[in-house]
Amino acid sequence: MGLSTQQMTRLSELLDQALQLSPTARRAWLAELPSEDLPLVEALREALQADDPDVDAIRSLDQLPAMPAETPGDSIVTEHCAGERLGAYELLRPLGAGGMAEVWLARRADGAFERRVALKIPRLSHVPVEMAERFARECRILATLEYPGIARLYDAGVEANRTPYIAMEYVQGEPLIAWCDSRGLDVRARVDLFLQVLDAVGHAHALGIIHRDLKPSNILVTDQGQVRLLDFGVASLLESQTDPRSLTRIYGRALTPEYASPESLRGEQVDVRSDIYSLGAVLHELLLGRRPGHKTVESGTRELSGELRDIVTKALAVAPADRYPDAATFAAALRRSGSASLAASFLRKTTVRYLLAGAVVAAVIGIASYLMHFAGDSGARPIATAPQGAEATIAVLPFVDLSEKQDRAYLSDGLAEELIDLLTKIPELRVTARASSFALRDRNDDIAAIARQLNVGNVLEGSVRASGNRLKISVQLVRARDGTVIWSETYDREMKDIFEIQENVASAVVDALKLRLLGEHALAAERRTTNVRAYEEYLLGRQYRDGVSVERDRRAQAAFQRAVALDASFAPAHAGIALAAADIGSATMQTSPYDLALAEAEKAMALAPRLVEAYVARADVRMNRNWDFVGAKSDLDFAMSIDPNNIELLQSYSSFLWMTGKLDEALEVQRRCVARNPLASKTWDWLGVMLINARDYPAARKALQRSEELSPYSDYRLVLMTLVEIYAGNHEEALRLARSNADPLQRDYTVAMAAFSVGQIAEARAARERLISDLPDQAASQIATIYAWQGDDEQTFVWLDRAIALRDPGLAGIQTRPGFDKFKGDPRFERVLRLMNVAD
Amino acid sequence: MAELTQLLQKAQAGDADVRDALFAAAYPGLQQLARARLRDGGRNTMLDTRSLVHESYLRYVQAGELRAEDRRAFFAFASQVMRSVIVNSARDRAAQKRGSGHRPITLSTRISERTPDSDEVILQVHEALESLAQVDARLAQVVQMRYFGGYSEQEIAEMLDVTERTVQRLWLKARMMLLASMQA
Repeated sequence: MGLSTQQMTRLSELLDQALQLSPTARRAWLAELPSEDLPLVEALREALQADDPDVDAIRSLDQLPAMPAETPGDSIVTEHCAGERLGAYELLRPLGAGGMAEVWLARRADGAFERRVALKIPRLSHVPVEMAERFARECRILATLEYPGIARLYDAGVEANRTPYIAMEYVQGEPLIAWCDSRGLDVRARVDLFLQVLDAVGHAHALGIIHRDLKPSNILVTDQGQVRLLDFGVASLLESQTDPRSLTRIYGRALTPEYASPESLRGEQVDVRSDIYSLGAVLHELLLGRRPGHKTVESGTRELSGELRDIVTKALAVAPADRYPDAATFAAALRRSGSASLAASFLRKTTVRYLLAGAVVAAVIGIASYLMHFAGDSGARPIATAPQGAEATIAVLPFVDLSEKQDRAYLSDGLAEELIDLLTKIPELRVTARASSFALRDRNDDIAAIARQLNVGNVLEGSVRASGNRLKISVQLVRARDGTVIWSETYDREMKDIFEIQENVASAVVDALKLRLLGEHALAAERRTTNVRAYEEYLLGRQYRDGVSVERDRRAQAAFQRAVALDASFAPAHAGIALAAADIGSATMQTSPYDLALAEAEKAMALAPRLVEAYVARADVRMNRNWDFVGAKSDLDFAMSIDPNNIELLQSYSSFLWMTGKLDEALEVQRRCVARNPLASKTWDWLGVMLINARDYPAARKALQRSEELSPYSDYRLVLMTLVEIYAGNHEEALRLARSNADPLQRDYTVAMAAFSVGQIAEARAARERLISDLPDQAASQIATIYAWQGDDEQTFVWLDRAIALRDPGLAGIQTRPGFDKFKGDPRFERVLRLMNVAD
Repeated sequence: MAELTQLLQKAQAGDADVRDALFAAAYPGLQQLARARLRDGGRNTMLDTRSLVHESYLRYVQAGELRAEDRRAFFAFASQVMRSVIVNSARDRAAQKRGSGHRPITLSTRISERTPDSDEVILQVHEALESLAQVDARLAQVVQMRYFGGYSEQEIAEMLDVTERTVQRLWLKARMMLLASMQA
């Protein structure tokens, strides 16, 4: 058999010639081959016939043939050994072992009762401490699952906090398909058995228990022809144990995908319809002798009768909503089709022959993994939007902290933040801001879903493992459209190399996305410290800079100060102190934080004359405390010339425009902030404020609703929502909202306005008077706003003067605030605006 | 620390001893995965070898023995190991059949319609591939990746640094060569 090397060489040459020719020309060419090639002509003719993708011969090589299953019990490799005890059970002999678990025949060793069980020992790399407790809880639910078609789950525990085990009824039976094949069952008998399966699954679903891993090897049939489902609920028992942020999430799931539903492959939440899909795949194999292939289900089921084909196709629908809603409906459809006509409506010749032949599968039909099925399908089902036109877009996800104690989140997050900072300096690249990328942190979405939510074409993700002074960083750049890894790298270095790594990653992204840099050193960060401790404190400080509360800003400030204590020349830490202190000053209306902010911002500038954050911090102090809009503008303009995409800068710039009365421009910049940072509720709140001043109440309402979806209750947002309704004239709704505010100042402020509008004068007055007596300094601008709304012009200006003396930040934007319209041109109001340095 | 990574680098530099060491290091893992998968499948199972290679890659990366960016190199190399795992298991089963006195008796008279034994097919391809490798190493490489590794044409194109179209062309010709050789 076979050809000699010499013949193969010649064959190769001849094929090269033949493949250039059209099929007709090849015949003539074959006939004219010289006589010494005659021995090859026949082989050549056969080979050339195969130049057609539909020819079985050539297709047979597209895939490995099916291989016989190895017999269980035959050289099973196990980690545990006979005689070993787990909980109350003693291992007797192994029943099977796979990549995910070992299964042992075991018995109660404490003599409590004589019962043999199948003991499943999952192979988990990490057993969380709370697992035993969880097992106990879940077991109580699963123990309610008592049904003839379902193998009982007796018990589950964790031995010595290390080895989990699950004790189940020991079923002696044969896997569903093998059972049918070995008995040569016809379609009708197969469908009958499958109806038993559906009946059992339907019972479990009714109790709210999803299997999640239905496959032929989990469906046994006893000698009596009774179906028994194994492992019901076991998948969910183990599922939530796995850390969603583990490596498998980064590098994809190591799933056997043949029976898994599309949504479970994507790691999404699943419901009973995921099981319906798996059952569809089992039915497909049961009837056709092969799993659903990579072609569409439709064309893969051609050999089936129309009704059966429709049923299989429906069960295997990609979208859960297109499948049978439950097992009972699935069964009803089968019963309808499974009347007398069923045997007649059976498969065409190929499959019949296969069934008669018994065990051997005709192996040549392409069966690819379901992942490939999706790839082929992607035209019909958008995997991700391709949003960008000419502009390249990217989101940097928080890096996964792989440190042993998982206590380096500030490092893994910080690294991602620093990368965001670096990447925003690339003019052609739109980078999603931190708050938005990070909002997706704990969601178990796949890359395509994340990219869709953030509206980006690329995603950068990675992991950090820090131990001592060593740092191991893995990064990969993924194209969202098809999940292709465009670039990836792992750095195993010392902590001090971290800046170099960051720059390296940023330039790799530039290369991979084929972008241009502004200047040669654009990515060289001005944020060096040689002191690793100082850098860690700095990253910790950034963690606290999320704008959630004053308290967190105080912590941020403290961490930055520790960083500065360790390395006094570390400019970004100085700028960090400045930003945090400026916000503390604005929130508490105290002067000392502002003083500190100014001093630190200027220290940072002296050390790093091009550090954007330092200028932003100084601009914040200048405009919020000093109403020095000229000074603020020069800082902001200079910062803009360095890094026009910096999100802190954009936000600061937008509020500068708003405060100086340039409402249209402010809105435009704020919309850019929102586009860059779509999942940060604060940017939506800001947009809401500006839209209120622009009198666009429907849009303001929408923006605030968006903010509400993104983060839980906030007093301030509720104030804004209340103001929208007050100004829009929905006074009853406004009063309802106002009364529900948890903060006394904000409640009295908005109640005083809304109650007045509906004629509840007493309530309105009481609220106002409470503010005046309890919080005169904190609420000066609000009290002025109340008086303006209630029509007491004189008191309005009294309180405006007081607010000005206090430098109340609540005065910001007053020149465009609804309710102050009537003062346009009023010399008293002109004076106020002059004092605030915002007169035209 | 990143042991496989170092081996891979040396092997790529052409160190034959290291290639053997690398092979020895990767073989047991892939073999175990393949066997587990075959056991899991119930009866006759299509081995999704690509997912096996991927799974084994993940395990090495998680164990810190391989760097994530060596994926391509590992995949390129692993198809060779995968081939060996598959061929050896086919040989073992063939030997068992002979050893157990299994004779090819067919009760049916329609012997010609009997699907060829999958192990036979695998061993035939393997042998044909041996002779193909002597004639055209690149064609053989494609077969190894496509048939034994189960990689997509796109993946192979990336590993060999050629276009997908080229891979399709090579794969068509390779299959013709194999068929001719197997049928001769």
